[in-house]
Amino acid sequence: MMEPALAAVVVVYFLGSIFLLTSTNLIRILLGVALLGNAANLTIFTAGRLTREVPPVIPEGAMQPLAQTANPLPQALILTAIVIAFALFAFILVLVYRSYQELGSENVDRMREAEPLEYPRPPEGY
Amino acid sequence: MRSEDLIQLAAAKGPLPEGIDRADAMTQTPVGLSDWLIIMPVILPLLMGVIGIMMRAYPRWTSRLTVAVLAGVVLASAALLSRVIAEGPIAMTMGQWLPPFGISLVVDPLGGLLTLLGSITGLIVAVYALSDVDFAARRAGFYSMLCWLIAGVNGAFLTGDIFNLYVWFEVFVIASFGLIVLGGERLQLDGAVKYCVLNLIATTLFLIAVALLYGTLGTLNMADLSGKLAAYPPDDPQMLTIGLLFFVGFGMKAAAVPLHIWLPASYHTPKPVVSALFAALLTKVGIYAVLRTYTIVMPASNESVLFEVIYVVAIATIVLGLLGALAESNLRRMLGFLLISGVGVMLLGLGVDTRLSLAATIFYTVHSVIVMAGLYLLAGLMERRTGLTSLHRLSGMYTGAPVLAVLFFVLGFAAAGLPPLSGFWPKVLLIEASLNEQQYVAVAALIVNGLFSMMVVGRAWALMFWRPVVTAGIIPQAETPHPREQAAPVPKAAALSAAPTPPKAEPTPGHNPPALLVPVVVTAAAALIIGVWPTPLLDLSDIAAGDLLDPSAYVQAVFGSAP
Repeated sequence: MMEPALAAVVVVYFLGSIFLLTSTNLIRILLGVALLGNAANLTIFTAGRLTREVPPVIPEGAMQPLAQTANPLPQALILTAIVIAFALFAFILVLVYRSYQELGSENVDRMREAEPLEYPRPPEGY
Repeated sequence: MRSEDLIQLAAAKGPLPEGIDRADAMTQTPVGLSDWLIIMPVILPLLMGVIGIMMRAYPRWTSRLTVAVLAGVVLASAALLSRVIAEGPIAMTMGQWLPPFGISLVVDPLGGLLTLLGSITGLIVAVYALSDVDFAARRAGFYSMLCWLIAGVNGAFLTGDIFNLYVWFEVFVIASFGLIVLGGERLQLDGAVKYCVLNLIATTLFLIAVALLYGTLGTLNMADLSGKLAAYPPDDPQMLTIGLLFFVGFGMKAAAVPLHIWLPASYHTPKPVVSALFAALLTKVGIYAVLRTYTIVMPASNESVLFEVIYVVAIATIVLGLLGALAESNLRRMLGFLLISGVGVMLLGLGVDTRLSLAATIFYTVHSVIVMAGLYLLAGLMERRTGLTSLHRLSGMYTGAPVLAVLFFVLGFAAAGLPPLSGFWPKVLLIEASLNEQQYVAVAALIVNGLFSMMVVGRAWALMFWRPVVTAGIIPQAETPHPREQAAPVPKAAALSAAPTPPKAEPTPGHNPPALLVPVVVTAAAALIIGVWPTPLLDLSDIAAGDLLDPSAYVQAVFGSAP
């Protein structure tokens, strides 16, 4: 069966995405996010069980498919997830580009605008 | 109605062959008119968002129309909730596919209550934005994104299909991305990067959990999952993995420790009105999703070790959130940490896992939506008035703004759980539930929560309102002013005049237009009324908790017959 092989591929995807997500470079983090989305899609695909390429069409007059067919639902789910992930990824790419223009760095350790390093102590009295 | 159809179809077709699901899962009857009410809280804001984009050139009319439509959404949600209270859970099936194949919308008391709250929050924020958000931001689609966010949040509350829940999550996430960068200041971009990346990772983890669940059980319909999961023993390793993945994804959304870091990094950066919207709703959707998956979808895991995980995480969230709030000197970041500690209280109710504690969680969720929206809007009012956000500099406002002082007093101490305000009752219920279960750590955490949040709020109130006006000398030498303050307190009017048409209500320093006070007064009044007269909400929370613990009514609403 193909499932174990694909499961191994999914593992490699996850390892790669986690490796990239732990980087301090925003571009690498974004690639990690994209890879994580693909890993999730492959997970859905594998979870839906793999069968030979028989389209899920029921012949006329029959009440059920005559042979075992491919599972259409995971494909529908993946299509939905791809579209969503694509839209969000496009937005985040633009956002990162703009923040690189404004903040002058793509290293997340140097993006301290919202949380300055020299943070004041809390008020300790009047 | 549908169940009779099914029975007739089944009778006409004779017995089904072995080993396949029901193939006559089609319904030919159109959806009844009364069932259309269920989708109104989603479809009205969705449409209004589209209309808003088309009418971008007329921001004044668009915003008024949006407020009117959101008021209609509130009415529809209220009607829906009253129907659910009268009849029990109700379901509506899209298209012609009957469950478990089609996507159903299901309303149970919890979903109905939260839909009503989401709609009310949207209305409050829209009214506040009428006098707060400038026309440039409205042209950029502020009101459309607000509508889509409300539609996404309501959709998440109403859906009965777990993959559809993911889709609604992404709908409101993309709307919130647009809202958080509206304005495009440096500070916002920095906060937005952290918010967006971490939220995208959270929803992806949720998607992976959905994939594994589908691979294990072969269905996505929540009611169907509920029935199929009953066959699994508690602590079944597959289910533990899936449940934990759900909790990580949703916990990240709800800002539970240790995945809360994005919230204090980003919630003080956008416009105050956007912060209020996020603080009121987005973390609560995470809480709702945890509640839903751990009660309806995975009822068999009730004796599971997962609840101990939730319990520990909840206590850590309560304590660390408050320590963060005590260490803060920026007003909006302090509120963010208060919000996180409230998330801990809500999760604790699920960790204790009795009917009483779940009721307390639901009650606290309602209270948190109202009070957090009010507090963040109030912080926005104070920022408009003084141009300051730092507790080191906000001072002497009691003489200048007594109304704000009273409002902050009411809302702040409601958040801290002081009687007779709204935060008091859920904490009392939760302490009682924990005592019944001999969970003394939870009791201690709740009492510490009460004490520390009193300290946080009391200190903030005393510094901002009671203290005489300070000079810059009191600020510690190490302080670099908050980026918003670096350009000195310039009244926002100067920035607004760059817009082609300045808004009607120009903020003059020292005076907020009275229209801005109305939404905040409404939230404070609600906190007071709920605190003084908690019985209706208590009963409703109790009913909702009962329906969560016993999904049979929910399942029956979806399938039209008992499983």
